[in-house]
Amino acid sequence: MEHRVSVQELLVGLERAVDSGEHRVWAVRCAHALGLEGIAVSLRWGAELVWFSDDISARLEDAQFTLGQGPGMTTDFSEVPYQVADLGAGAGERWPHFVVEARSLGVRAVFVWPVRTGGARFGALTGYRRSPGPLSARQAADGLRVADALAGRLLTWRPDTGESAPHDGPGAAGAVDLHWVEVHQATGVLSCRLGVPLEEALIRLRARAFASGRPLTETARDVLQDLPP
Amino acid sequence: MSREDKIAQTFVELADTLVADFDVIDFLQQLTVRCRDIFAVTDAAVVLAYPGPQMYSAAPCDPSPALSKVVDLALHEGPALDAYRTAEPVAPGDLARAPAAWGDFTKQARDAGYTYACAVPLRLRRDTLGSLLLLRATDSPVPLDDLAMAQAFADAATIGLIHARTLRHTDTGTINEQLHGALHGRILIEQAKGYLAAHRDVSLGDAFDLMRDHARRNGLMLSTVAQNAIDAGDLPRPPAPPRPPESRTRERPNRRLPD
Repeated sequence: MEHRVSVQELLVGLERAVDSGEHRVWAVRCAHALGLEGIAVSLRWGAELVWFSDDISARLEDAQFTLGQGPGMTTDFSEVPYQVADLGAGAGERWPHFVVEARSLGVRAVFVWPVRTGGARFGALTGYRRSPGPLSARQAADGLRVADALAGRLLTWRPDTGESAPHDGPGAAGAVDLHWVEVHQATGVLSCRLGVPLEEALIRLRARAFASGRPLTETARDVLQDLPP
Repeated sequence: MSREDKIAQTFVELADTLVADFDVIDFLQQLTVRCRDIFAVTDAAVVLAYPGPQMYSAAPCDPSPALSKVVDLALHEGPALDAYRTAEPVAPGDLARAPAAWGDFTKQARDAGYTYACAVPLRLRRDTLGSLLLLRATDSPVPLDDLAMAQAFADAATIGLIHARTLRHTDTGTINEQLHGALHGRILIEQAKGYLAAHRDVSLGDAFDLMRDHARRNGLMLSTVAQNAIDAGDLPRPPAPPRPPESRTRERPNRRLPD
């Protein structure tokens, strides 16, 4: 049996991969650890493809975004991940164009984990296999943990530079661990003030930080300053 | 209620996780309330190492500003991190003579008025999920008996987490699901605090009190109240007076540190 990277090692490696810009290498290791042939991580329902392990993963994401259909567009996460264990079995009726595209790439099964923070789902971790069949319970649970780890990283992801913002954590780039509660509180404040759902409030908070060139946590603190003490 | 009664009741609460409306964050919040009530400690906090490798503070959801700053640092150094890493209790130590490696934590804790700190791990067989940090602000350490009892609470809490909900998954799946629920429940409560504070033009602390009071009055879980507040755009206003009598012993005393 090939060497299997534990999820713990994978998550420790995530920090290093972000720091050194080796996202693709990390994505390949992640795919293998989860028993998948490839993974892609995207924000805003595929509008922003952040990381991918291979070309097929990237093309799957692109296909879903341009066609406006596919498992990644689901909002049904009553079971996590959302599993399409066999793209041949009835899936074509639901996503006719996507299934044609996916099968032409040799893809037979697709799995989607939501990337979320609290009540805001703002991204997805999507994996595929060339053969049909469901994930094991362990793979499903491991993927959930990876998606949760990615959520903290992706909030500070800078689309312009392809790197995480440098000043959001102690030492390691991009970690929203110190003062993270302020980011979540500010998300709630913006959701109320702008009259938008939490996911959009989160994306707007992130956009404000990028536009002003300041760390997400500082931007969040500014939002909270208008509240009564 | 005698101390023995309180301890017995706490074990019952920690074991009572197979109920339909179990919520991890309410559970951990209650654990910190009980620790402050039963032990001679000023503050208690639960930190969890999920998804990892960093830890986060799962409870309490309403730390004082002073405690909040101390816990932020406790995620990176100090007794809570050591208890997690070694899977062993960290005995009550005088912060005036703390290890040099705890420098930032120690300074923040002493500035906040804390004098002694200790921690016990949340252990699950070979794995450790996090730890329970106990802080004291008087001139003697936390009694060792209290530390042993805190470890017993932590063990019961860990078992409670695993048995929560159903046993339909294997252990890895179940515990991941619980920890996932804890993380997002905690975040959701912060999001709802922000939402309600903006909506009602009150402080974040007052927003939390509104949610907690509403949860108590109606026998709801905190995360349910938080979700409802966000979905509905506000909390239902409480019925006009008379207010229910404040007979619940869960109400905790003023949690500010002595000046």
